[in-house]
Amino acid sequence: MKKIIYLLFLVPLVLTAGLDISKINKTLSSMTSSKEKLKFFNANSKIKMKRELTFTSIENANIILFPKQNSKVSQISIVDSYSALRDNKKYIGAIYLRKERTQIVFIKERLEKNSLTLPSKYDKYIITECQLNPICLLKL
Amino acid sequence: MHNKFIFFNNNKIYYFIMLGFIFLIVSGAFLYSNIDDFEKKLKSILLQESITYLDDTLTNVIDDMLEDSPNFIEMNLNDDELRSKNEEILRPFNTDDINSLYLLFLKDNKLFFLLDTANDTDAADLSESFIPEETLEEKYFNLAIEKQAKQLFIQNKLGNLGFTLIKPIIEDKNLIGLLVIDYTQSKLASLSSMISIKSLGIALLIMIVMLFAFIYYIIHLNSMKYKIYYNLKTNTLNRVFLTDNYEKIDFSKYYVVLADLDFFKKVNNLYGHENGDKVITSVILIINSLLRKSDKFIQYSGEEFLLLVSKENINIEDFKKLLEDIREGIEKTNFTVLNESFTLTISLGALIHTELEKSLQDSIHKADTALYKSKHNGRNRVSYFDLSERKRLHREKLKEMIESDKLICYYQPIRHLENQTLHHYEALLRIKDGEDIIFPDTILPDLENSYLYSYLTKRIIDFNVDKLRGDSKIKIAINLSADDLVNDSILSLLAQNADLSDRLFIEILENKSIDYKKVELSIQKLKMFGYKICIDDFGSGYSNINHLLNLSIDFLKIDGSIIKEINNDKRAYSIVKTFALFCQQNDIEMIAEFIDSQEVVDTLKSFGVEYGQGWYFSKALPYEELDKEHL
Repeated sequence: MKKIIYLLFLVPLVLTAGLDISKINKTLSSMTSSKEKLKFFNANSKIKMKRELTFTSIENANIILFPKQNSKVSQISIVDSYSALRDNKKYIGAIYLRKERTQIVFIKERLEKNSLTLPSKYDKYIITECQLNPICLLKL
Repeated sequence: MHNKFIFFNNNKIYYFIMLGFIFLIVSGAFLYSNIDDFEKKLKSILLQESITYLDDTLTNVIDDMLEDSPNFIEMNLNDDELRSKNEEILRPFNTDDINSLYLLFLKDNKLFFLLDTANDTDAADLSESFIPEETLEEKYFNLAIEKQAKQLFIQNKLGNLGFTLIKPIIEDKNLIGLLVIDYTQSKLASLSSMISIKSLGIALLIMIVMLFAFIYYIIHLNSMKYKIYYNLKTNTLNRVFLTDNYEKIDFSKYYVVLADLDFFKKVNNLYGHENGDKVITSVILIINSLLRKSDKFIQYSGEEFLLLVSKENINIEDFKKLLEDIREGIEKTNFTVLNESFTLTISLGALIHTELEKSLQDSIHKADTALYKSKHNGRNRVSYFDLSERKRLHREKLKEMIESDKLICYYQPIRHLENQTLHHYEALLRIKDGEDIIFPDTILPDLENSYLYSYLTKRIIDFNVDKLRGDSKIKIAINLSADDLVNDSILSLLAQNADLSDRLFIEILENKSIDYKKVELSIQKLKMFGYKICIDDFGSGYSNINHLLNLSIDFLKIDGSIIKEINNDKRAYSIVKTFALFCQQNDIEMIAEFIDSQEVVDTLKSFGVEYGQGWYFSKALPYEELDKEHL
């Protein structure tokens, strides 16, 4: 039990330590919605996001950043783990550290579903639902 | 003609140095601004060498994997067991130097994880997407894909990553994936420590700049010296050079000549100084053409020249011929100024035996005397200053005697007047010439104003030091002149033997030429070494009691001519009595010399005079004949 708590505590830390905040801010601040101006809520106070984004309360936010695992939020979220992104369709993207590199991944279909777009220069961060699945990926 | 100092009268060298300097600064700036790239490239080469073994091994491993699994990507994606096995094969290569080792496959121009040797939380999910860092890393990943060539690059502040190796995986000539090995910072640091080009480069640059600055300084200094030491119009050494280098020139190796153009003022008056300088330049050329490289030519003043003719390979006769050639050369030349021709003559004065002189200045002074003789006797001639043959030969003989063991000292005791016990001996110079003994008064006048005088003093000091070292009880007083006291080499010799100062006393001859200020300084130095000082022949006509008080002397020796008359002449009696009182009141011990009777002893005792010397007690004897009562 202790090990699980430790891991649960440590994993976010490990995965978020060394994140390129500047890159994250640039990407997120380029994201637009056809419906309204995007407002964010940062659920992980350990990740110090910059003021380029509009932050607000959890109730007023469109996008929740780094919500806790299994938290019941109604808004669209960007999580801090690839596996959580893969396993839960309500998450539109993931931002995390892998091999010391900041990984930013968005799912195309989920962005479209939520009327969210990113400029074409960020296409490298966008994969499809099929690309999430190894078997489907193979068939591409 | 050769000059001891090398002068660079060449502005070209300055320009080259400046150009070199500027080139150095510019290339240094260029290198500095590019040194980071250069350093990185060099580091890459070094890195390549350091990972060669792993690289080659992994190549073989991957080749084996591909052989075992055709359709490598598909098979690994579908087969968990195969994938685990391949990860196990790669895992041992993930050493302490390696942060991560993983295999990516390419699909739709994107990279995805296939194999990952990590066990921890950093292990990627199967087919998880991989996005290289922007700019630097992206470039190398793209290159690896495009060129299907291995890429090795240094990471730029990416976590713990030092450098990364990307190996393309080729199956059937197609790139199917990339094997990525991220090395740690510490691995890079250990390689970086081998080359720190920047700091090396900076250090080298600083050293070269300092070298240049030093060379520039030396050349500038020489150039300054040239400007100071050379007459720029005639390109000859000038008097400033002489003044600064008197001590450096070994004048004994040269004949010294002063030459002066006769009636040259007329030329300046008629044609102006500018044309006059041109004529002098022509004269200098004529004279220089007859001199050798080893000779020195110095423009002493406008139309007066000092020639130092080296004695090497030229005897006196040839030297005299040389001077005649110079005289004749000037006389026979037609000088032309403003289309007018005229002739000039030159007078010369020379000193041949410079080895017998004390200094270059003295030698020049004597050459000047000879030049005066030339002028006085009608000009346009050469005259020589020389000692008379007899005197010259005598000096040479004395020199020989001084250098040999013919120089000895006789010793006359100085006794306590109260009980006539021995206090010390006075050393008196003698020269033993066969059976004859030569006394100082026949030697010293011939040696005055020559270097032999101080040489003689040093020989006497050496002689008596030997006696003192051989006899631990004897006390000796030696005589020094005021000139000796201001001679550094003599003071130095006394300083070297300061351990004998309790037994070696210094008697100074008082005379009119004594410079009390200089002597006072020397006496202070000698007293610091422990020497006791006695003024000799006091009262001989030049007594200066005021100065005596400043000299801090220990003994005063009254002139013998006064002592002899003490009982016959009221004035002599009164003088000695006054001096005795003076000495008692100023803690100076008094010695009376030339004592020839008990009556004189009694009179001196009544005045409180402490010591006496004279034939009444003993004449001066060689050391071997002394009573050795001091033992």
